Amino acid sequence: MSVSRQVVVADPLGLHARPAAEFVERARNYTCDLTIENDGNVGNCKSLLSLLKLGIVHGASVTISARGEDAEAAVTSLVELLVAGGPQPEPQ
Amino acid sequence: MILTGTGVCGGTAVGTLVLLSGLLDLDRTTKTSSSSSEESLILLRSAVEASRVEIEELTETARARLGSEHAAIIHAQVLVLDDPEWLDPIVEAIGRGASPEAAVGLVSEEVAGLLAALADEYLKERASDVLDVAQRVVGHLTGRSRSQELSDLRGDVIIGAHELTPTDTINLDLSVVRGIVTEVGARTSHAAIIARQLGIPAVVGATGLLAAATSGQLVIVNGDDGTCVINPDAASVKAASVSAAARSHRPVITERVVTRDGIGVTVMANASSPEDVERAVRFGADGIGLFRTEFLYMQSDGLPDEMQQFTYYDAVATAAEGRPVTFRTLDVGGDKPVPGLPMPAEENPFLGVRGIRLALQHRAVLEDQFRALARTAARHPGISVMVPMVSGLEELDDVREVMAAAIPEAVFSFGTMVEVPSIVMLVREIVDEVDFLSVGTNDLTAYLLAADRGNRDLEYLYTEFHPAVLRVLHRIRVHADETPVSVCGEFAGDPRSLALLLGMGYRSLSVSAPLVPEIKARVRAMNVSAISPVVERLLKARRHADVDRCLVELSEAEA
Repeated sequence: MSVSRQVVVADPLGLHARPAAEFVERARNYTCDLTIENDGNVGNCKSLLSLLKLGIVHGASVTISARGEDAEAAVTSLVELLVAGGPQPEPQ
Repeated sequence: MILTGTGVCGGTAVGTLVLLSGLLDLDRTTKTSSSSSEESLILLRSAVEASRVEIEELTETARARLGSEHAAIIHAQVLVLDDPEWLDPIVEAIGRGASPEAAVGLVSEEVAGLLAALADEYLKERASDVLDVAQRVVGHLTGRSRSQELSDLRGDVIIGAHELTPTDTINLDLSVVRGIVTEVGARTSHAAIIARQLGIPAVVGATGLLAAATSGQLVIVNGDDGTCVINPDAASVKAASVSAAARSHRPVITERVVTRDGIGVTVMANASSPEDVERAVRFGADGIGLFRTEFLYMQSDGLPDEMQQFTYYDAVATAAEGRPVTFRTLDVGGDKPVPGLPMPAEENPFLGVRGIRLALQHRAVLEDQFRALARTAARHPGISVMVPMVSGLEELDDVREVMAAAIPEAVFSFGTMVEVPSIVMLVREIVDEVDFLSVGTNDLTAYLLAADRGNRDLEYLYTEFHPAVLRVLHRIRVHADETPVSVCGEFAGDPRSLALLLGMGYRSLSVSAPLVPEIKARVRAMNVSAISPVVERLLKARRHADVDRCLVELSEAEA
């Protein structure tokens, strides 16, 4: 199964610092392959270093894609984390 | 021979130098492996697992010694061990015939290099985490670990190194390590912050150390003026030993202390969790002068409700065993986000919606906090509450309005932080309306000097010993008149500032818990009437050089 969804990052710090660690820890709860695309660059959701290098800022529109058994649940959970407390999620 | 660097933690120490080997000494590492890549991978996995166990242990050490915030930073290193961006290239390199230690070293240096090149202080610190982890894993692979080098030390030891990592620092044996000197480093690095909170005299950036010194030499580290003397003459050793001896035996003093001329001084500790409070009590703190409540908010998934908060604050007050605790209401801003509390991205978060400004935009959140604190105060007398980042009396009016909506009557004494310069100019007015003040020297200094304390290019500018900062501290104490004022922030724990603060009239300090025994011992040795004239002169200082001269006189008057 493969799922892909776009979302606007709500956290004022972007995907950075502690929020990024939380994001990675959450992604690692799933068995599917999880990637995140920002501005043409693709990173691994299960790697903090990969995520930090993408330099995702507040308001960036990113695409989370998953391939594998629990893809749907994983994407839903990660999207929720990115929009938590923020303005508008952008379901596709 | 005298090396000059930057003092990151004040005080003098004398001891035998123990030079640590390089973090990742790639030149000394075997590049290719004679064993099969399968065997190498097994070695790698067991080194990674051993490192994981150590980092978990270090997290607990950090929690016990320094508190929850430092523990969380250390624990983040576990994420590196599982990170595919780190692990996968290492496994690939081993597959190509590299030895596991060379693979870990090369990949880690590459990853750290990429992070360090990014223009972001946070990511630069992550680079040092990667190297810290790499050092640990390589240590397990080669049997040359720093934790081994740092164990079984005897006598009075000065630790010397190219650089100390946060985990090296947090794990130092405080019964023998008297001082630290490193070739590189900055005042703002995580390792320097840890040294400061542990109260270990430390000098970083002592260029030439590794070339000039060898293990076993006698060394003096002077964290006040940032010097390190290798093979000092007998007279210098004698002078340094006198001042070091006072530091090296610090029995915990549980009772309140008075100066030689009979002035009582309250020495409290800062804390961010119930465990921090227990630790502060063990160090003999007279109370908690600053309890930061934001950690509860940051570790929750959403906003903690009144009941969750009450349970937590009750645990804090219980851990204080009847000692006073001053809770600071939620103090966050765009740089410290909290789950469930949306904050707009700001051009300039330090001059933006933070502290009480943010709380007043979310009054229901502040009301919940006041209700939870009022319930805590009903069970524990001696609870005070203060609000952060106040810049004018109107904000206090608004806070009172929120408080009145939340609780029928004030059951705790109420105060405000003094950290915004505008409030310094209004101290006479504000003390008519609050029960106490607490000076947050870190932010106050940054706002007064318009210098970010985390900016390495401004390290020369950011200092609490600036003549203007000293005058402001004095003004606050004088204008507050009969109202109690305590000083929290790093300045309160700086050994050079104690005489100065007492001379200005401060009688209450709140410091990092491990510094409490030292500060209490020094209070007992102090004679305030003897230092007052020097403080008078200090307040007339025109330049840093004038301040420095007076500080020398103060340390002489104290000795």
